[in-house]
Amino acid sequence: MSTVPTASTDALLELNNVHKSFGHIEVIKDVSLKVRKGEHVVIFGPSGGGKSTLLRIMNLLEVPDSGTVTFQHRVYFPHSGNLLDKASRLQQLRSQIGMVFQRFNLYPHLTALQNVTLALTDVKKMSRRSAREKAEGRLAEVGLQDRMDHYPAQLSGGQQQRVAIARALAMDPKLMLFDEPTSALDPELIGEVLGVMEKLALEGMTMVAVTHEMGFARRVGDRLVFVSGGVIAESGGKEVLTNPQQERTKAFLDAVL
Amino acid sequence: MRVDWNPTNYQFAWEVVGQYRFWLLEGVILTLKIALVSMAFAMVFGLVVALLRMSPIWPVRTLASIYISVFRAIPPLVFILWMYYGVTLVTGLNIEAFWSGVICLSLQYAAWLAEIYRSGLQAIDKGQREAALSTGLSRTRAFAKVIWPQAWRIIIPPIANNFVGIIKDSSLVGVIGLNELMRQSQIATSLTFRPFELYTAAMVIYIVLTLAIARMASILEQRAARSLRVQTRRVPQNAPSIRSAA
Repeated sequence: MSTVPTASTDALLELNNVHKSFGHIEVIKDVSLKVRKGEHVVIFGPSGGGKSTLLRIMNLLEVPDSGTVTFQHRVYFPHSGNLLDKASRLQQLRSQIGMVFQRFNLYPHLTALQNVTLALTDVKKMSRRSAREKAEGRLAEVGLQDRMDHYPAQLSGGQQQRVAIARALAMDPKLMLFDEPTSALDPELIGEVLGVMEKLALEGMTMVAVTHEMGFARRVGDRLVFVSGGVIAESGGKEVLTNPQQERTKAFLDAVL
Repeated sequence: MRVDWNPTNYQFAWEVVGQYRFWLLEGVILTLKIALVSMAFAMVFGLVVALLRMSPIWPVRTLASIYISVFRAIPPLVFILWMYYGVTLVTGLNIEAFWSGVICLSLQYAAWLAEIYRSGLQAIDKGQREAALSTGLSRTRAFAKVIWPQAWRIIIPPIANNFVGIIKDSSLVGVIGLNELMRQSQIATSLTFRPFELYTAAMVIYIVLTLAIARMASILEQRAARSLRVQTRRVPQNAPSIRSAA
């Protein structure tokens, strides 16, 4: 269980033998997963199976009980060093990993533009002017150049999620995490968000997406990971969708497709 | 049949209010001084207590929660007398009446304010903090730039209520010889035997002060609302508001 992680050269992010319990319930049971640079990993599976927790462990929003989390060959968990050191390393890790949430989590008291510039000025210490320029560029990329001064409440769900994507992208992340980014959207708004994600994938962004959008999984996923009951039940290329080996995967796919 | 509304044929002498206007004004100034200083301390200390109350470390949390329960339970008049006469006697510290009063009001209101801060901070979705952390903000910066601006807007009205409360409770520090508005009216009454006129004047002044605070609070609230267009979840109105004096 406590094997020393041997980070292979092409791994951007590596989880090794990760465990996580909430109270007495073990939600992640000894999971190991490697994300290579440029790879598009799609995590799917039944709710309560541990998909989101697994994703949140990747940027240590959720701290595992044991195992290792390695990013670019640096071990971020388990922590070593004092508390201050630990805090700044966490910040360092998270500033390189973008995350998009199911419920957008835009800051309601800030405009779309300010939502994007906050971390640029605060974490990257950019000047307000260059932060603004960068944010404008990112918002334009997600098609919101004419909504920059709107507050989140004045935007549709799809627009809000695109602002959230721009917010994460502005930090120039090496990895993007998507936690069910379309689950809170009206059906007609899902397309615009998936479109932005597919464009990102085409541009070569490394990403891990938890999603129920099996069409997206088929089009974009290089590796499909079926998570159920706190373990990776099955993992592989697109054949996981077309020709699942495990009964559980088969049953799940039958139910959703 | 005519109802006599003034059965004693009392002869009003409102001019005593005019005669003692500077006397009363002095009282108002001290009242405001006590209230403002106590409120400032209570707001800072209350926030500290609120943050301790939400600490992940349980002994810290418990201590903060004991503090809140104890200081909300003591009647302010008892506390003021205990502090000024009792504590000084036991410790030999010579605490001025002004500071005794301020300490008592600050400590008590910090307890009330702590619960207001807590309800405001807890009303903010935890996804807000996670979003800020996920972009690399430190916990402190996430609080300052994301959580606090949203919570502040929600807690302005109950905080203003507490400011009104502190002004009213400041009338109690007269008992330790501070010549605030209440005590000034009392002294003027003993000199003129005009309790009705002078206490009416005092009441009117307290009302004016309260209305002024309410007005300031609504201006603050509007300003905060301008930068926060969306309606955040309302705080449940179990937050303490105005309490009667002792």
